[in-house]
Amino acid sequence: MKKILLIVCTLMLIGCQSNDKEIIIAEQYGLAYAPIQVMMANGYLEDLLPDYDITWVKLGNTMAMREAMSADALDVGFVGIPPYIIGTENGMEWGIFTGVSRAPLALMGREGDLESIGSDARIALPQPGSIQHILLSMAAKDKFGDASYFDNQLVTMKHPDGMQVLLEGNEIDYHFTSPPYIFQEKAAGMKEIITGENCFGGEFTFIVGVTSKDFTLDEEAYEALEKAFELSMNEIQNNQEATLDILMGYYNLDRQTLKTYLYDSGMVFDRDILGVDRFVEFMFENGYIKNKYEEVDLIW
Amino acid sequence: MVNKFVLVVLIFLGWEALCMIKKLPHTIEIISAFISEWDYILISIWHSLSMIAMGFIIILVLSFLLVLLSQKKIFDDWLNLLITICHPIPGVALLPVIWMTIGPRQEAILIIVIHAMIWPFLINVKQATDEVQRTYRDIISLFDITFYNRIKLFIKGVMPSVISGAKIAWSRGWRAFISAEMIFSVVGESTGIGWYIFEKRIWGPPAGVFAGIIAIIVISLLIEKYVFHYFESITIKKWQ
Repeated sequence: MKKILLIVCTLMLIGCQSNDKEIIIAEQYGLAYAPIQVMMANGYLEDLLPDYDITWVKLGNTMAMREAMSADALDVGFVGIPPYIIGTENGMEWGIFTGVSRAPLALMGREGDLESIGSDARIALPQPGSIQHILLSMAAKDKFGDASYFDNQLVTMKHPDGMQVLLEGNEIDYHFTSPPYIFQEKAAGMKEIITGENCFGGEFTFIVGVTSKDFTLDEEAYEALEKAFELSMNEIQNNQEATLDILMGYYNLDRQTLKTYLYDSGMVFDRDILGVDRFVEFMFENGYIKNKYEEVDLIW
Repeated sequence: MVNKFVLVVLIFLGWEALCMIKKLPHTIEIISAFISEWDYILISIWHSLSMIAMGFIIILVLSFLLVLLSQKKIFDDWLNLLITICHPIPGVALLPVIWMTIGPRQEAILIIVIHAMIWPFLINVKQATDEVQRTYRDIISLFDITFYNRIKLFIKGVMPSVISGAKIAWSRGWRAFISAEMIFSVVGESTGIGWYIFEKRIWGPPAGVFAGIIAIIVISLLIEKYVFHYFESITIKKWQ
């Protein structure tokens, strides 16, 4: 019994241990996350915080990020605005510190418009509660008066899988997606059934950067993160060739295609945070969340 | 019984200790999530069990046919090679292949469940069949045993392995089904306990995720305790 108690106490002590000078950041795959990839590749944060251990981790989705942050195993992450709002609704102590990107999102399919989508058609998107799901619900509310109009037609799949089955014509008729998949689907002959901006009714930020509340208490680290992000944004906006050099290592695309995707296809990299109020209002009115938040509750 | 109770209490205390240092839902929150979502959980479990049961029936038929075919040397070699190739492949790793062939439908999950169940079951049944044939070959040739008695002898000989194979197949199928549902799901159709956990991860509350995990534990215990136990009691234990 004593031995068991000793083991339990040791494990608890290990669990309590944490390095105060460590920052854990989640990076993700997708062109909309380009500023994070540039920041990582150029080591901006590492240069600004030489005394800190900076750890970059890859997490599969927003849920994993949320769980890691609530377990104090993650300090900084990047998400779409709706999943961020849902996390806040579930008691996450986090806040937005920056906008990352605006991007062309769209419901892709072979032909037609929203009204022509049959009740037996299947729509692939990453998961319920994702920005793609909420945008589709916004369009459904606008056209049919029911936000859940398409909910029984959804198939949850990651973007690469969704693109593959759409192009194969195998059971999936539509795919709500984002760059680079939207560009690749267009190149393969798919059409935009409705764009994200049309669903939303204007411009919105696709990806925002969030930090845990605890992280903001470390002013030195928080300021360095802001600075590093600023440097990264400047690099993307003003040094296209160096940016392409970095990102070509991430994406299996030739230089010209990548350049077109990043700079000539409607992607915007800036730190503005657009659309939070509208997302909150819609999600509240349609029962996705129970509390109505103000911007001041959500942005540090 | 007392030992088991002590273990449950220790797990409870360990969990509560963990809740003090990590942001996890307390036991009481998990239990109340379990109670308040009971109807939804029950429907999810029913769907999951129906899928596993369907998988089980299919693997029983397939195994019977394959073992029968493997009495011929060439089919036996093929089957052994197939088991060596397929058994180590995790079902979810086959998802892209399945999507490219039949598309993302409920049947895709059923195929993953069958894949997870059939190989361990087949290994057990095949080994038992070979052993029984080796062991009783001489007895059968020495004594004049009727066809009916030969079948009886065979069934009694292979049954322990069939049951242990079924236990492994059940646990593998159950795990594969839950994993597959957490990767993709057709939202409009009925969904199982894997999807329930996935949904709770998205929409919360976090206690709902653990309520789903408790449901998995409870079902696993009930199946082990009652279904397999009952089947053993009317077969191998009765024959001893």
